[in-house]
Amino acid sequence: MKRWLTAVAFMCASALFAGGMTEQAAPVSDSALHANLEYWSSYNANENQGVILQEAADDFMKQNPGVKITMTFNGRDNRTLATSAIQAGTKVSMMDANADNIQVRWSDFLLDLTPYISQAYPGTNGASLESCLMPSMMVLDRKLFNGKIGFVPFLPQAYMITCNKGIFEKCGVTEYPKTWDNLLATCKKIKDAGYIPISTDSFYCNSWLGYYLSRLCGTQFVERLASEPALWKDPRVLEGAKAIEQVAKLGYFDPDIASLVYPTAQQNMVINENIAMYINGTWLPNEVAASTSDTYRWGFFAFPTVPNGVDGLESLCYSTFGIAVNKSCTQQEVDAAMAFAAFIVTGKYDQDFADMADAIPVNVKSTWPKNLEEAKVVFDQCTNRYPSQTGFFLNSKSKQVITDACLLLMSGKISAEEFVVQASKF
Amino acid sequence: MKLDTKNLFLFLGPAMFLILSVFLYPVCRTTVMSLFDVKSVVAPMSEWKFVGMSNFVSLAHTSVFIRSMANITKLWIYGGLATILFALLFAVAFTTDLKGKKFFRAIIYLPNVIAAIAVGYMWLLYIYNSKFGFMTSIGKLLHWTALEHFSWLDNEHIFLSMLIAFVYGNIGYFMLIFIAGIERIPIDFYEAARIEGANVFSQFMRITLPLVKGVFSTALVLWTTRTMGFFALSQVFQSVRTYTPMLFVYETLFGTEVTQEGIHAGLAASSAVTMTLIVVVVSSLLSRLVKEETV
Repeated sequence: MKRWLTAVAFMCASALFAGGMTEQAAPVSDSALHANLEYWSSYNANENQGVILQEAADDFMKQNPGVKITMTFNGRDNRTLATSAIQAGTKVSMMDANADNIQVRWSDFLLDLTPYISQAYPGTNGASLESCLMPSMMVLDRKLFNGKIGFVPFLPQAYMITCNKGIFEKCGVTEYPKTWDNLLATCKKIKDAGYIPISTDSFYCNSWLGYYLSRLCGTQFVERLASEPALWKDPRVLEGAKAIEQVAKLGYFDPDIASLVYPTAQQNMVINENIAMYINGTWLPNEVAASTSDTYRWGFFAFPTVPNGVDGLESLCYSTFGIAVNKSCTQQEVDAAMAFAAFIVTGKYDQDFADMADAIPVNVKSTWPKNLEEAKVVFDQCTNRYPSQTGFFLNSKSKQVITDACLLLMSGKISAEEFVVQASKF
Repeated sequence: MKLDTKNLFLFLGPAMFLILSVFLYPVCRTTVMSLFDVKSVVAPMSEWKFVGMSNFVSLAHTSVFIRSMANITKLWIYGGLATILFALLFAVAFTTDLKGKKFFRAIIYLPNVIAAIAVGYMWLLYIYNSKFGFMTSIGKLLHWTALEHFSWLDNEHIFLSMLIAFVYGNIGYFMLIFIAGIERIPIDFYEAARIEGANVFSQFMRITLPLVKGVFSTALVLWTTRTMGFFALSQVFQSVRTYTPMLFVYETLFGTEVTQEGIHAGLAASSAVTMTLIVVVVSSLLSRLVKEETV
């Protein structure tokens, strides 16, 4: 018994000694940062983006022992949960969401990050944080916040025509269509070769008309259409609807389009590999990765120009996620929060988003994922922003009405004239 | 122990406190909010702007809300008839000496323990899919062309498809309620009826049905509240034809990921109040119409 007790005592002493040694061996940080941060994220803990964020937080805490970051992964409902939590007095130091959500829902709680974005951080090699990030995202940031900086952008996204490159090559299409007529010619080649030129579903279908009208009349007109039923009498709306009607009549839309409810079309695209085009976001390759074969090759190109249109290929639906900081934070918390935000977008983790989640890196020095190489070409030529998924998505009162009418138009069940009447009933 | 007023309050106090704080307070706050212009559901009252009944007037002119009310009415009537009928049928069948009845009871109740959103996607992707869905496969197997090519999810049929999924998910719940009611009926009644020569149908019509009338009343009230709270399947089967008031409340209150307009907590509250009033009125009417017959 005595021997046993001695052994236990020896083990305990060894463990304590080892613990002490480990503590002594740990690198001593010279970081002056001291804060407890509560980070609320719009990702789920088991999503690639969530996993990377957690790893970044762990790494940052290791490098800055004075900082403790508690990550809360709320999923996409974060936009509403964080609002309620902050208004109810819960401590939320930093939070992320889509840029539009940050502006619409969180403007009242945000710290103006303008002075901080021009500072240098350990990962920026002496340069300002802003100079390391995609200029178009900074333009968006300032546009949403009247010249100020409301968030640190990360994980940019764009919404454009996604395609199966394999089908394009098999059909002899060597160049992506730049005009509406080119698009129709491309669709013909694809259809003649036995493939489905275009598919969509009950969620994303209004993007075809949304993009067409944005090219024809500008995005502000489309945004007004989503709120003003009377504006649908404008002859340009009928012109756009006629163009879509023509595509339907030519049989270029998926024959099952009338019954495609999200997410069927995107799954069909990668499982059956017989659909050439689908308007969706740059997040699509990651979203359907589990169903996609290793040989599938993603292509991306800008929505073509349309006859007599006011906008060209330089206009793109894009947005970004952003990290915002609560204005109720203390100065120490703000310093730590900005250092952590800079750590995410300038270091290893921005590249990890690209490599592990097929996401667009926000750091200009990071390498884009192979699947999104062509999306980069579209991004690089972009100088004008449309809302995330065209103006038709902006008003919850009209979105479903317009979408249903679009699906009927694209399936050939109603004419362009009937569409205009039906879509304006909201 | 003597049950005096003091003891009554002592025992009822905690429950009453919980009911008042977690049920009555939100109801009162929502009712008051429905009369104000409120940006966010948790905005402090100092930011509320009184607008009287204008939220209700605005609601009456909101096309999607009116359509959602029409949808929910259809769902309540058609879904209610189908659910109660099938639930009663299964309840009668599973209160006999049927072999394996416990297993079948569990199978029919199963959808109730699965998240509604998962059940919805199961129907959408595995049952109704026009390429490889269960319905299409059955059509192919039986060489039944009409079934094979039936577009379950197009604009004309999407409500029917959602209705079937909703009824399927609710039968088990109401079946259990009816089973509890039927099992309360003394077995002697049926024995006496059998001796008198009554067949199964007569026994059902003259004994079972009259004695579960009270259960009917409860089932109808529960059906009304469940229908008004209908939400998950409406989100899965995205269409104006499947749009319901609860989805309207959600989208008006919280918006979608890219929504910038249409977020209005006061309008959402007025919609919630309207639905609550409908539930109260319909439930009261049903309770008066269907009187219980005691055993």
